[in-house]
Amino acid sequence: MARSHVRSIPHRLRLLRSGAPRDLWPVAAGAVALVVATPILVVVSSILTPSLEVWSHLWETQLAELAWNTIALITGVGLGVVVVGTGLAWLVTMYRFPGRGIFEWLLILPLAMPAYVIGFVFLALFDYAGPVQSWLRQVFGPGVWFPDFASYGGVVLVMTLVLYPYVYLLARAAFLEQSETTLEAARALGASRFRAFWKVMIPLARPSIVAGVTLALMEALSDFGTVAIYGFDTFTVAIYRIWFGLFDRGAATELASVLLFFTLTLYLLERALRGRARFYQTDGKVRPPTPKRLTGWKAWTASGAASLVVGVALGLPVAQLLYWTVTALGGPDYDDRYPAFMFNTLTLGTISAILAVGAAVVVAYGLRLSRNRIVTTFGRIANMGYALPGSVIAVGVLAPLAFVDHGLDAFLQATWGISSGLVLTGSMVGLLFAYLVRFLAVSCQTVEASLIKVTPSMDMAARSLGASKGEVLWRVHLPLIRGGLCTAAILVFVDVIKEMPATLLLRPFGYETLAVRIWQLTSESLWEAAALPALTIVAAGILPVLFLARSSARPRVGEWDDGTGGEGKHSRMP
Amino acid sequence: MRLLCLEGLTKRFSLQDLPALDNLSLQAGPGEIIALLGPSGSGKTTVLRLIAGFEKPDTGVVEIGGEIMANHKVFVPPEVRGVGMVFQEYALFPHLTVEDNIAFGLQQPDPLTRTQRVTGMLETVGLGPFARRYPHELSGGQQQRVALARALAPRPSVLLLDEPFSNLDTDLMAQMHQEVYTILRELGTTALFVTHDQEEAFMIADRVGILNQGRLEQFGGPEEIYHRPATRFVARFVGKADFLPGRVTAEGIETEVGYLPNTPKFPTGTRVEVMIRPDHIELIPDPMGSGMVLSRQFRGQDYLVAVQLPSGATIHSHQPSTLTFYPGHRAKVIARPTHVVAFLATKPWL
Repeated sequence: MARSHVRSIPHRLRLLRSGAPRDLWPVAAGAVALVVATPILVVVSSILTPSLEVWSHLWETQLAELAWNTIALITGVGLGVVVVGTGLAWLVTMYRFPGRGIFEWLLILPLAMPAYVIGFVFLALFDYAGPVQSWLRQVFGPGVWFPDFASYGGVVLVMTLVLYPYVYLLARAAFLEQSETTLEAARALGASRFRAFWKVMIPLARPSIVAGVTLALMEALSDFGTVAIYGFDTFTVAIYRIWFGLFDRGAATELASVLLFFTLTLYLLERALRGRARFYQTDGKVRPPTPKRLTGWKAWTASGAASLVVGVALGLPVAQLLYWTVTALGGPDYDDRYPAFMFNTLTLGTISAILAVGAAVVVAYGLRLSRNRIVTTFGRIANMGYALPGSVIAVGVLAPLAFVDHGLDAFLQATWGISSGLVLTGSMVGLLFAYLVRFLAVSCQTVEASLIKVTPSMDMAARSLGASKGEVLWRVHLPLIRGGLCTAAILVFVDVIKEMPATLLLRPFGYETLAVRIWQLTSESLWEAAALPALTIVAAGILPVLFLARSSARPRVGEWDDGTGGEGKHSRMP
Repeated sequence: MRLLCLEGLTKRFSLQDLPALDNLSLQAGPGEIIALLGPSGSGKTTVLRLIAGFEKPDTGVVEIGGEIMANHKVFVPPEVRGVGMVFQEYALFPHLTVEDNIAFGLQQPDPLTRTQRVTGMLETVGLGPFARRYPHELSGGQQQRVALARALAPRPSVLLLDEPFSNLDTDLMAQMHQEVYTILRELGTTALFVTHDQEEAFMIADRVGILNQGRLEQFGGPEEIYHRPATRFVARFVGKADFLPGRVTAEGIETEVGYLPNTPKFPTGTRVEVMIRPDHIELIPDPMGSGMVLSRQFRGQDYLVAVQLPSGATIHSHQPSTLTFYPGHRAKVIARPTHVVAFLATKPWL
């Protein structure tokens, strides 16, 4: 073999010299990111351009109450999830007690419960007409006192029960990543086990705990179903009411911008609290703290506490839903349109998952290829959707869509004399767009997490072997991140199925999904009928939680991991 | 004939920093093996990235096989440059078998030719039995051979190697140096590799370029670089070197360790700094000697002895491991350089 075989390139070069091709990937990524960012920017810009009349009206009527309720909600839920989440994480990492192995992942499962599901189940159980109070009245007479469950306390309890796993997961990971030696050093310096935990482990885990609380509170802010049926007025409820009651889109937008303001404050607060502390990183060689064996009553108290949480947050509602479902099947409460709702839900979930993953691949790959500041900025804004409540996004989606609708209609009228009407606003397009805006971050972060594991030199190797950028994506990246793409699709799919407020606001007239159905039935206190759709959603919600449970186990070292474990929920911060 | 020609390449990554590459020019003939040697951050890898097409030069020209690949107007994307590249961490595609990795860059539509080419490459690198394995089932040395075979399979006009040996342990490294050298020579491939290990550069390369802060300080044969360093940086970076102040007189360069011939032809009276390598310092045990032994480092085959001269300057000497100097001993210090290398003094006399 010799030099004469050297690959001849000139003929291919000549093709390229004429009009060097522009780099399309970053442009495509920028375009996708811009489209997704538009609704977010619309709402943000309405903060900057307040309408005075709307504001003075809102101020006179309900703004103070809404703000106060929201602050109270954040405070209550925040305290609740910190105590329950950190406490349980501490229990399962630092102690051995009967059932610890099972509780370790059972305690994550309540995350699968949408707050509105456990919310209506509890309301049904503990409300005045519910079985618990009826029984109490039978035993102790009609005058027996019971707290009003449809109240602030009820909302905080329900949300704490489904949202504590965020804190639990992150705190547990942070505890596990700490090293036994740190703890031993503290003990050697004279600290008791408890003091060492309090003085060393908690401060080290603080950034993780703060991140967990922030995630939980963002979910609390976006919740609509629970607060609505509990009659606890927050911004999401007010937006819904103004939207459908008064058809006042302007006021809805202004309210959405206040809600957005709360969300952003939380986000910035998290940044500030995390400060310069970094998430504790392990090189895989640290020995995690050895749990201490509990015996006797202490052991049973520990098991009891964990069982109580799992039982109340998961066992009780699931059992009640099963009971209602079974008794309702075949009875008058069974709605034979259920398969149709199911079909609608699956359709929306599947299309959104495909859209979100496709968009995520374009955005993530474009960002990988280009350090262009505009593309990066849009990419970052487009990834903020997840932090925004569905109602805010619904409001934000409407304005750009209506604009396009009117433009299209005017164009068609002018050219062919036909009217397209509101093809986008009133159709599934609007809803799918809203889902894309809200959940792009989920798919994007999962895809990015997998892409990071493909080293840049692999791209370069492929390029130097003659593959174009598109071919690199197709022949190298996609096969390598297949697992991550599946994870991303499942996460988006399940999130879409659970999503309530945006679906309610944007669904085409008469188009009903499981979540919509639950809302309609529970707002009329038809608990039994809502059980089957609710149970379906809970079952679907288990999927991503299982992914999470898997990825929150200790990372295995030395294996090629494509990120299928999915950073999932804890990487959702934009 | 020049196969690879770089002309005045400059690359700046940010306006505040010094350029990553500053006006670099070098040429390589067909079949030549070139090493770029420099400390980390000296711009070595940037040179490779510019040649491969992963960066655009701010100014300057990259020419391969007489075709302009990059200048102020033209920019040919990496996939059509016909440049092979071997990465420090090999960057094998983990989802492809060894043979699929090697076949990745082959554009021949005819499957028979492709298979033949892959088989040929597997033989060349001695990995025939491993064709169906996946990269993670191979040892480090085997992975490196796959990386080499993959880069060479499309018969690139130039092969670039980015610190290709730094992930191997010492024994394997020596073996791979030899193997890679043999394969490159056998195929007559023009190769440019980047390293921070001077032994490696001297062993494999026909010519070595020394990079420092983005500037090519010297480009020449290994012996020339070692014995006649063009700058202080090269002298210090390649092998150990001490600098002693000297003054040019009619008899030669006057230093603390004697007169040295004024072969660089400095005018009389010039103040210079003379480079002295430890090989060129002779120590003779002498209680009245001017040097005092400060320390000694046992290095297996010899000692590196540090000696303080009356002026306070320290000079090093290689001494056979049979000879024993201890800290505190005095010795007579004599310089016997093969070539005198001196630079104009920058520092005032101590």
